[in-house]
Amino acid sequence: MPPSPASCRAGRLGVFIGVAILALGASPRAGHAQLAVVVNPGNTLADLSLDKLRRLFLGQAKTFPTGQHARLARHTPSAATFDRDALGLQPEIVRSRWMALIFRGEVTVVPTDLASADDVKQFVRSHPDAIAFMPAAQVDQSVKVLAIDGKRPGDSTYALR
Amino acid sequence: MSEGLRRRLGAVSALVLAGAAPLAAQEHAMDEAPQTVIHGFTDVTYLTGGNNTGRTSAFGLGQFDLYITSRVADRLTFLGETVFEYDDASSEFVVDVERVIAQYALSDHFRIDAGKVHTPLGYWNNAYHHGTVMQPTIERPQLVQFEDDGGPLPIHTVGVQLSGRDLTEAHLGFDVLYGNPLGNRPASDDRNEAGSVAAAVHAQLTPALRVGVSGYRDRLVGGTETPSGTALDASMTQTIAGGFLAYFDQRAEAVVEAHDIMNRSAGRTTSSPNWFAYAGVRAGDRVVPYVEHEDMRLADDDPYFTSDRFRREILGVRYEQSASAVLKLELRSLDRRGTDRATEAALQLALAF
Repeated sequence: MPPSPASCRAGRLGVFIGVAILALGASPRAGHAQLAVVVNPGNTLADLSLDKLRRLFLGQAKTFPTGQHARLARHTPSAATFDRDALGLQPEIVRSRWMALIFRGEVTVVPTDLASADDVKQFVRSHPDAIAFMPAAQVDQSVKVLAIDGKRPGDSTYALR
Repeated sequence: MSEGLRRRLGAVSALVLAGAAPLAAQEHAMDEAPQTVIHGFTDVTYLTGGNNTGRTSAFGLGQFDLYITSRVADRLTFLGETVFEYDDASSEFVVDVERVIAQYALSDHFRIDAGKVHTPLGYWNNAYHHGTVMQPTIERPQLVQFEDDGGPLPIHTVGVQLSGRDLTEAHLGFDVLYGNPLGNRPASDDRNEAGSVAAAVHAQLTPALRVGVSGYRDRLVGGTETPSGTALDASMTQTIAGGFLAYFDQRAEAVVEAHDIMNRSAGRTTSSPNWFAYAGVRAGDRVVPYVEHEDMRLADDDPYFTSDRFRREILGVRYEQSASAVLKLELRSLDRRGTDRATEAALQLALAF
C-alpha cells in the first residue's frame, strides 16, 4: 500500500528533526572554582557592586563607577562558572547576548578571552583600564582584587563562590 | 545563474570590497591594524498547515544574512548588513542591503550613526532584526515584520542618529533619528521636502529588565507609494507612539510591545493600535517552552494602509544547542479578519556563523 500524503509529511518532518538534533550534538561543561575580580593596581576602585559587575560583563555598561573606561577580559576556563555565579545566566545565553550587542552595533569589542591565569594577570598589569576574573587561588600582588558588594573572596557571603 | 542574480551578486562583491579596500590601504598607516569581521546568519524552516481551502507543506530557506563590522579608525566603525533572500515577485534570489552604518563613538556613553539604520521603535526591531537565531520565535511578530513582508512599521530609515547609553543611576538610554521619509529612495537626489524623526527613551532598570517608549513622526507628500503599491491621494502625517517591556533572566523571559500608528490626511485621522506579547520559561539549560499572542489591526479607510485585522497565537519550544545553533518548533493559530483562519506547525533550524 503506498504511503498517504500525511504519513509522507510526518516522515519528512521526522527526518528533519533527526538530522537537526544529530547535527547539534552535545557540548562540554566547565568546572567550578572560587573566582576573584581583578583590576590594575593603579585603579583607585576598591569595591564594585554585583549589579555593576553584571552590567559590565553583559555589555550594558562600559565604564567603572569612577567614569573610567573598562576593558574586559575573561579567564576562559572559569568563564562558565563566572557566567552562572556572577551573571546568573547560562554561558550560551551570555554568548548570545554579546552576539546580539555586536549585531545591533551596541559594542564593537567583545571581552578578551585568555587561556591561563598568568595571561589574565599579564593583561591586567598591561592595561590600566582592565577588569577581569580569574581563580582566586592564583591571584598575586601584580593585580588588585576588588570586593564585590563589600565582600572579598573567602568571605562566607561572597557572590562568586 | 541568471543575469539579474549575477548583477546583484556583483553589486554585493563591490560593496564588500568597498568596505575592505580602504582598510587595506590604512593598515600600514595605523598603529593598530583595523579588523574586518564577517558574521552570518541563516535558517531553514519546515512549515505545514493550512485552512479550509487546502493544506501546504514545504521547506523554506530563510534569509542568508552577511553582517560586516570593521574598525575603520579610532572611534569610527563601519557596519554593513546584506541579505540574500528569495523574492516571490521576481521568482529569484535577490540581494537587499539592510544596513550600512558609519558609527562614531563620541564616548563610552554617546555615539552617532549615519546611514541605513534600524528605526529606534520598540524593543524587538532593534534587539533581533535579521538574525533569526537570536530571536525567541521562528518569525518576527507581524507588527515588527519587515516592510517588504507586510509589516506596518518603518523598520529601516536612512538618516543620522544620536544615541546615549547607561546614563544616570537609572541607566537611561536614548536614540534620536532624523531621516528620510517613508517612500523615499536611499539616494540624495530623491525628494527630501520633509524628514522623519524618531525618538526613543529606555531604561535598563536591572540587568534583566528593560523598559522604554518611542515615537515617530513623518510627513509624506501626495503621490508617495503606499505598501499596497497605490499612490497617496494627498499629503499625510504619520505619528507612531509605542512602548515596551522586556525581561530576560536565567529562568523567565517576556516581551510586551505596543504601537499605535496614527495617519492624518485631508483632515481625518485614523488609529491603528497593535500589540504583541511573548513569554517563555527556561526548563533546564537549553530548552525554553514559550507562548506568543499578536493582535494587529490596520484601520478601516486608512489613507496609507490596506485595512486588516490579524491575530496569531503561538505555542512553541526552543532548543538552544549554543548561541549559534537553535532549533524551534511551533504550533500556530492564525486569524485574519475573522474569516481566514489557519493552523500550522513549523520547525526551524537557525544558525549563526
